[in-house]
Amino acid sequence: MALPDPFKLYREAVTRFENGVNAMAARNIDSKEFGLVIDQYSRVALGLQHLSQTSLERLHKRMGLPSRAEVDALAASLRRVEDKLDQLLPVPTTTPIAPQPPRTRRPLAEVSQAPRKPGSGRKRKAGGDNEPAA
Amino acid sequence: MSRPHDSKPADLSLTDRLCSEVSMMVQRGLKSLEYLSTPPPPVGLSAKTLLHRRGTLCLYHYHATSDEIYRVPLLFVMATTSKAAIFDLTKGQSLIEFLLAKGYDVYVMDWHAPSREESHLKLEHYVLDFIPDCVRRVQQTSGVQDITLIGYCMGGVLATLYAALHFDGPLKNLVCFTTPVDWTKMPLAKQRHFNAERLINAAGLVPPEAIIKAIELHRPAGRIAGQARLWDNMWNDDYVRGYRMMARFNDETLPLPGEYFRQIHQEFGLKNSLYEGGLRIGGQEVDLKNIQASLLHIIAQYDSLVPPDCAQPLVARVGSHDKEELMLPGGHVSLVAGPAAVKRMWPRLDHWLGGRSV
Repeated sequence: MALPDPFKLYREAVTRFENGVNAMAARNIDSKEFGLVIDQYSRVALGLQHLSQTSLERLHKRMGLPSRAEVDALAASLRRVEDKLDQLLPVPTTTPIAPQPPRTRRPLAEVSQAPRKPGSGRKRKAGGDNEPAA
Repeated sequence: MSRPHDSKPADLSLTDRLCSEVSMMVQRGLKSLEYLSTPPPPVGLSAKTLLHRRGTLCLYHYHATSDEIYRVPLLFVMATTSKAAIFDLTKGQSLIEFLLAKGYDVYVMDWHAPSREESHLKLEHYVLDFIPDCVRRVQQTSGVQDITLIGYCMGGVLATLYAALHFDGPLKNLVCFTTPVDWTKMPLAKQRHFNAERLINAAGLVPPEAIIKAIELHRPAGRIAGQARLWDNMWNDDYVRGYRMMARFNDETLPLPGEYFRQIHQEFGLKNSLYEGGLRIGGQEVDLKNIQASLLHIIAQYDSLVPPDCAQPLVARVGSHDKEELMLPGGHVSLVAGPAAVKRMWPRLDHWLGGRSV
């Protein structure tokens, strides 16, 4: 008599559990109770977040460290400076940042079916419509 | 690596079975220590240049790896809750690496966590500012006017809205991955009893924990079952690496600007205005019939987040003559990343894009 494979049984049980619970959730997802669970969770999560934030702020204050809000404000100022720099720096239109191969690629099937003749079809100059050749 | 107990139990003697089970248990123990003591594998390693960064927005240009590239560049629009590293997991499992090798010129709009200064961002900022700005920069960098937009999930919604409002613009092709259109068919959007305002925190943002929890609640057993399977497969390095990369993708969920979330909840969740009509972005009415670009919509057959009947109306509603819907086996994430995507979706995407990128 063959021995039962415990790992096979385990995997089947995991799949059955997952399918069963998920199917139940799918049936009840638009219920009021489900909405209440999300509401409850968000209320608790936000409450805990608020509690940890205020505790950390007090700790930072006592240790003479900047608070999260002050670091956020500093980060936002730095980001604004970086964005301004990005806007002031000229966009490199003549010299591509990475070397650009010619834009002449055709799909493999098309190439094998109808070999391209020089100067025919939609052949484009190297580098695209109005790009200097790389 | 094959596992000894994958053989038929009858084929193994009792001693062999015991030996293999003990060996697996030892391996699980050792590998689980390794799991706990090492960081998750790095993702998003393909060579790229940051072209532009403005607040939450980042535009990257990936370096070409082939000698000859297609004329029309690809611009990915990532979903606003996630990092684009899902498209560039690791060597052999990177959609971007695959497309570069096939000869595409790839650009990606990725997102940073928005700051409290950006809590006011709305759909208008994404559709009428960020995407057009990136399109212009891609045109300047590539020197090509035509462009292909590829949007994933909410990124697909943003790309679709852009296409509908810029129908006389440079868009040649639009590719959407599992993009919700009829939001009444979306399990999470069906929930009308919770208070959306409460999810927006004091900083005016929806915290990532709330987004992760909301997604988990629609499949509450997913995390526990995933962890049970991880323990079962702890001996398998490939499985563990894949699990950790996906877990990292999940853990890197981004907060959402409160105004943007409020607008999505009201317009799409409550009014279903993308499907029913009446959606206005920046004062302009969105009409999907205005979309004339070639369209490919790839839908995941077993997607529980955006089920097929939620995504399917897109192809039916657009005005494009060249349009195709492709339904593939898989879930919301396994459609685009992981071993199944490599075999199923990527070759089909390349096949569709190739002829339309010259």
